[in-house]
Amino acid sequence: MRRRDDMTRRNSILLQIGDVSCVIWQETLSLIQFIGEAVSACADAVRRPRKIRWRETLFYMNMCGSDGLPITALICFLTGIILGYQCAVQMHKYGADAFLPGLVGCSVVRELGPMMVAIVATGRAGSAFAAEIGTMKVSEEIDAMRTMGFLPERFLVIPKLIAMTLTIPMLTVIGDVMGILGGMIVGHTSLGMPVQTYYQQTVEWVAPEYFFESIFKSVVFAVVITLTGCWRGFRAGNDAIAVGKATTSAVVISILFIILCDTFLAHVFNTIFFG
Amino acid sequence: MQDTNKFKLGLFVTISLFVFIAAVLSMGVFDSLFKSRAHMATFVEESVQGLNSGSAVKFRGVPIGSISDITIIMESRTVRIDMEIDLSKFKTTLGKNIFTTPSIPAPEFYKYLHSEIDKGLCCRIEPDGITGIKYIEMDFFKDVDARHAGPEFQPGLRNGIFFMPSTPSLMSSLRFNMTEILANIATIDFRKISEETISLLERANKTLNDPRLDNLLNDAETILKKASETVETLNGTLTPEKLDLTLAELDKTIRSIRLLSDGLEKTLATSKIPQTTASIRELSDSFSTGDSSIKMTILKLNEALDAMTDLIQYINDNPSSVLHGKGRAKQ
Repeated sequence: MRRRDDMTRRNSILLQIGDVSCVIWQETLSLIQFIGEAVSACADAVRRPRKIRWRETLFYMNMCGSDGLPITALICFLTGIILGYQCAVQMHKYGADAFLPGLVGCSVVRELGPMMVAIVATGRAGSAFAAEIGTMKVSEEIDAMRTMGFLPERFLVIPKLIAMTLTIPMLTVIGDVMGILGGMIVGHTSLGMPVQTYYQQTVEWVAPEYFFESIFKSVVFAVVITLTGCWRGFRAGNDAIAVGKATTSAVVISILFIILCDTFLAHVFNTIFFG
Repeated sequence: MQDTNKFKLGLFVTISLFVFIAAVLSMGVFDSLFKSRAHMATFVEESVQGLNSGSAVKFRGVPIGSISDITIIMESRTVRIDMEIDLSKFKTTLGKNIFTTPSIPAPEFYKYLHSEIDKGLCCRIEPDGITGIKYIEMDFFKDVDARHAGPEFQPGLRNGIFFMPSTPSLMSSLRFNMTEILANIATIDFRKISEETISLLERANKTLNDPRLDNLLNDAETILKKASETVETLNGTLTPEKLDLTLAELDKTIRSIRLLSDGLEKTLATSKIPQTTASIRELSDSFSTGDSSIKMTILKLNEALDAMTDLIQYINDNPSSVLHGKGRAKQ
């Protein structure tokens, strides 16, 4: 009788909610702690730049930037084509063809460009960071670092953070231009708009501030992706399955945080800067 | 850790920087540093919904600048629109290479604006398509009154800002006219009109249902039938030959009348009518004089008869008076 009661209690919904709340609380504390350690490591890196592992930084720049350029450019280009097609079909009904360059340009530069680049980077770099650090944790390399007096955050996170904050804005600039090119092809082929006209309209509508907004967002996304990937890697368990779970959660949580940050930044830019 | 492919990384960084610089330059980020600009402002008394900072300013359709600020003037409840004009859009020389022709300096531009305002140049808010976005159009609008009322609205250069006159937008004018039309419509007493119409219809209905109208219609129908029969009879009687004969006789008669009238005219001309008329008048006057004489004669005759009657009466009363004469009157 008592056992049945225990079973019922264990499986009760309230107990599950309590468990989930505890996990969320612990994870939140862990994230705050990790962010604090990362900020401390950044400050230390700024004070002593010579201690930054530049070789690894270049390696991660190559991995996240150069290697990711073709797929990022292609995805942004196709996004521009898709957006252009959808807008061209709808706007042509109302005779608003002339607004296609502005709509595609503003959408790609302000939102879709940074977002698509960030999502691709999450899939490529964020998951790689989580898997790399998780594997190091499984093989007890991180514990060994701590035992030898190294700070793993400075050793592992700072090169990744520098590489990502440098390469993601570059990828975003290229992604923005590729998205505009995709829209231009649709405008030229579907609506018969001359390339020069499309270009002039884009320049007229897309303000320089939008480009800087795009770059600012990409820097924020780069920080989010790196910290989330590394954090999930440090929070991974001690077996192979845990590494897989850490990788998956790194991607999912990164995308969630990217969307949240984008919502906040869109509000901030629209109300404060472009209000 | 694998070695970094520095060539690939260098290529990536170079391409990224090149794209970034090209994008920034094409967006005109440094335009404000190198392009000369003029500052203008205008006042409008209508809603500026759809007009924002950065909205286009066009001169006869040519984009020449953008709106820099929109503010409300509390005293006059007007909206002040500040504009920045790109002077590189204004060239002075025709027929030369426009890329090498320098843009005009701001004082010359203001002078040019002053002369154009005298010819009717003013600002107006125009809608940019169906999107609700608006822009400022500068043009020579015909049949509109640019506002010059009040010292603050007078066009000209003040404190480094050139103040342009403005005119209400088409939509604003349309809205005003529509409001006026609707106000006029609102004054019409539709209830009274409706009541009168109903009353009229009722009376018409009564009239239509009156049995006398049926009789009238029947009579009219009978008359029409008779008229139709008469016309048919006439058609049967009046053959074309008869009609020709009648017309010929009518023609003869008219000729005879004309001859007669000619003869009469001649007779009248020879009949000395004025003299005859004068004689008749004299005769009439003499008749009138004779009439009065006859009246006098009759009066005297009447008096004589009265005297005779008195005499006969006296003789009758006093027969001896015939022998003795008239005696003395008794006391």
